[in-house]
Amino acid sequence: MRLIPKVLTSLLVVMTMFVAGPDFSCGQLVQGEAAPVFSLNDITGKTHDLSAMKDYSMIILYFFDVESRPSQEGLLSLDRLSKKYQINDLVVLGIAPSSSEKVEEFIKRTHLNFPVIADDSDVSNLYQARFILPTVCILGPNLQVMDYFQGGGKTTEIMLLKLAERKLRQNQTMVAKAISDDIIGKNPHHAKATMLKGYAELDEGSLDEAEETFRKLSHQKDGEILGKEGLASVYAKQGQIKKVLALAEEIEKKEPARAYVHLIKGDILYSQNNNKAAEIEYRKAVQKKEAEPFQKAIAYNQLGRLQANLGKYHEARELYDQAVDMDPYYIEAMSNMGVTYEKEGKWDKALDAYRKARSLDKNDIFTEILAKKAQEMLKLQRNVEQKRRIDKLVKELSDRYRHQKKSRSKNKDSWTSRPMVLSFVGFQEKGVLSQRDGFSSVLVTRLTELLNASGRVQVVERAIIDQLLEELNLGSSDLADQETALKLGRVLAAKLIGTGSLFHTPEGPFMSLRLIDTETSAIPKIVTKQLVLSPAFVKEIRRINREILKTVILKYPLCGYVMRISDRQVMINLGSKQGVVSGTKFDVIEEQKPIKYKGKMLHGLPKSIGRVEVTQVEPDLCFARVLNQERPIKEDDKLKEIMDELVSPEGTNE
Amino acid sequence: MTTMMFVKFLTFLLCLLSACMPVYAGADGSIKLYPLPLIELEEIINDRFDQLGFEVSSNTLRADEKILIAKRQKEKWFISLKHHSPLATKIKAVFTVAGIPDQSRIDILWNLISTYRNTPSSKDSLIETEISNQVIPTAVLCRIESVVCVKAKGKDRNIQLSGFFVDANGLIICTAHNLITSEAITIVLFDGTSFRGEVLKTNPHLDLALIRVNLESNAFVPLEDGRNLLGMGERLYSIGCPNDLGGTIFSGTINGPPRRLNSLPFWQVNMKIYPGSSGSPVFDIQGNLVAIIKGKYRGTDALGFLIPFETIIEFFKEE
Repeated sequence: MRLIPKVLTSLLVVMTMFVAGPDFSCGQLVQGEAAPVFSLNDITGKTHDLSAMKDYSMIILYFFDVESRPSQEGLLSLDRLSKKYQINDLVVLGIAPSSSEKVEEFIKRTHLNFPVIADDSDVSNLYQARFILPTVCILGPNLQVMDYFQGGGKTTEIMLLKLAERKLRQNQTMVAKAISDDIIGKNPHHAKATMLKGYAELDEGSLDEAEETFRKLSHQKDGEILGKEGLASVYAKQGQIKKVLALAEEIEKKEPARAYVHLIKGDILYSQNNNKAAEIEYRKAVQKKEAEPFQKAIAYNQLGRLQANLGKYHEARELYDQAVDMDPYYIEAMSNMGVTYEKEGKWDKALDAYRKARSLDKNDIFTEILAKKAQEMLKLQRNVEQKRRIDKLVKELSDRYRHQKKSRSKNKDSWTSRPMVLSFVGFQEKGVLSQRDGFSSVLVTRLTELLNASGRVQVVERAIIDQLLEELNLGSSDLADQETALKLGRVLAAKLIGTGSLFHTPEGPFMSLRLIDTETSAIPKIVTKQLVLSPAFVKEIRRINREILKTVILKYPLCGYVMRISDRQVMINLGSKQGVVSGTKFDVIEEQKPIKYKGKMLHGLPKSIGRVEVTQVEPDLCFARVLNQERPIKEDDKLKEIMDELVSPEGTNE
Repeated sequence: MTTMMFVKFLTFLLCLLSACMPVYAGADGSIKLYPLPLIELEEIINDRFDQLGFEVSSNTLRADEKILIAKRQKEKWFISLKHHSPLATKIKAVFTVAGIPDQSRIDILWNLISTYRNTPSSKDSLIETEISNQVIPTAVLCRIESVVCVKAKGKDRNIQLSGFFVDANGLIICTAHNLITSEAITIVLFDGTSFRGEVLKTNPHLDLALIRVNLESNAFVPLEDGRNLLGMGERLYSIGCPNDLGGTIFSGTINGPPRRLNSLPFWQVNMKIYPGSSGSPVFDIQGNLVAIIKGKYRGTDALGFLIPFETIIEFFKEE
């Protein structure tokens, strides 16, 4: 008896589809387009308004029948997974075209983590989810439809698979792994799920586990190619190029239509400085039909980066667009889009792109820094007065550069320190083609912000350098030449220039930062660090900032004179302009008289006869209290900054 | 008349309160000097406030002083940051709940900063972010005063572990390894005061020990609220004295099925465990006692084993 209505329904579906033609089956739910919005009240009276949820990066709409067990299975698995792995950001709406009493009963029975709503306003029709249940619709950023599938049988598995894939692309590797494990638990030879698990392990850096997973997969009948592709990417990350190429050849022979091997080959060729050949491989990767969506997306992105490197920003943007179409969670491609605008000086468009990228992942530090920078540049652009000041300055500087005039007249007082000006010029990016563009920009922006905040160092504004380089027609390759960089530094009146390289490796960029003294060409400090794009990145940059500050204080201590002294308070001819902050300590020093010995003048080291600590700072001068003195400190005594004694990391009580 | 009485009652209450926490009353603990640039300290604190859902407003008083004010319902932070040099910062912190100062929260802040300064940046980043994304539940924070640091003379060196009060009469439970019954034991409370302790009994097989101090304390972990059956992936919080840093909270999850070693059951967790963590009580999200830290898996910092609640009960039941 119960069968009849089901048969009838399916008949009806077939009929309607037949009558309405292909328009119906696609209807409004086209992949990549915005989903129809709705607003429903649940049994507690809470309103669920889809249009108000557009900031969520993923929403699952699950249409089902509260009375049919098979149609609930997927929803129950989602609930179980979210409870088991504490997936807090999983937004699921269960929608049932049943009476609210029955829905209430269902809620009481199952205690789901997600809201289950009785559909009383034809939302199911809007999603063509009236006849075939369950119907699952996965919505991505800005409520665009990413996946849509219907019907019993394998729906749950397909849904979980899609979910794992999307979570992997959102960089939630733990969740992706957990879900794929769940699928594998029920179906140990599930090739796609095993593949996803392998890539999740690869992304979280567990290379050994990933290798094992892919190796097992490659021994499976239907998983050989997927497994070997995975193994190739593990070896690529380990830098075992011979192994990668051998595997690539094997895959290409067996399945000539697969795209991924070309992507891997392209990456290798690029890292060998063979950009032309790399481009050919990337183009092949984009053209070949058979690939996982994420592999295609990366291929588009890499090709885009190549175009951007050549200055073809418009082409690059088109490619990035295609990458995002393939993978709506591809934050790298979106951020790269912003970088192309940035390179063209279109800060408003750059900011838009960065904001879009940030909406996918608020914790993405990279786009956060880029967005902040774009915002500041935009503000600067709109400030006419500032712009005029910079234009004038740049003009002066470029004249000075061309004619190599001395930037300063000789100062009478050679002892007193001038402000410590530092300028970052010419950061070179080398190595593999990382999926992110703009790393050096992020690094320099962040260091500039931190160093300026210290009050001790002034960093030359990026806008001035950019404009000056443009005016002088100098490219980043010119600045790789140390002499040019130094010349530029001198023109900018910088005492130190910061230059160096970012060598991209599969694990992240390896930074080598050199500080060079523009007067003596000496190198007071080299910082080398392996950087990773994770929250630790922020911390690493802060550490680099501390190292630079320490170098400046130790190698370029502030020097000044006692101007006046009264009642244990000393007035000093250095202020915040020169880099004095409260708490700065100075030694009061006395030059020793040279000793004449056998016709030679022998100079001794200056002797410290007291110590003062700054208590109050004004722009051009400061006041300090006397900590100790061997002889009374007097006017015109020389002062030299000292590095503070180490404060214990646990903090000391005051 | 009634208002007068009410005010008097309030003053009385306040007096009582301040009498209860004599050590907290002093303001001397709330100014510290850290070897970090001002902006870095400001960022760390701001990030933390962000995660905890505080509303922050910042203010630059003078060129070298920054004021942060953070509010969340009745809680209010006042923090002043002042340059001490380009590389060091003087920080003053005041915390109040509904106008009543609470030093314990300030100590948690100091802890946060020192742990930040002490942890290497790249290695532990994964675990660290996982923890920092989690807000520590108030129910767990409330337990912080019942946890103590245990210091004793071991076989050939001084040892330090963690423990906690289990009743109001000064009974403390901790792990037994390295502990020798006869030796003098010092118990350091959360507020820094220390007492002599006496080992009442130890059970090396269960790895548990019972210590008594001559002190009545209202801050203890009631064993009646303990829980035994934990779920895979359940989030847990430990409070202890890793490396003698009392009141340090770590969070972690059960990441393996129950293990059996020498016929005893253990929970496997991913949780930071350092020397001195042994004996730390472990709570669930509701602040119920669920286990005690036994130790870490050799060679790792974040894979550990917990003595389950049932073993604690077994220890108490035996004569």
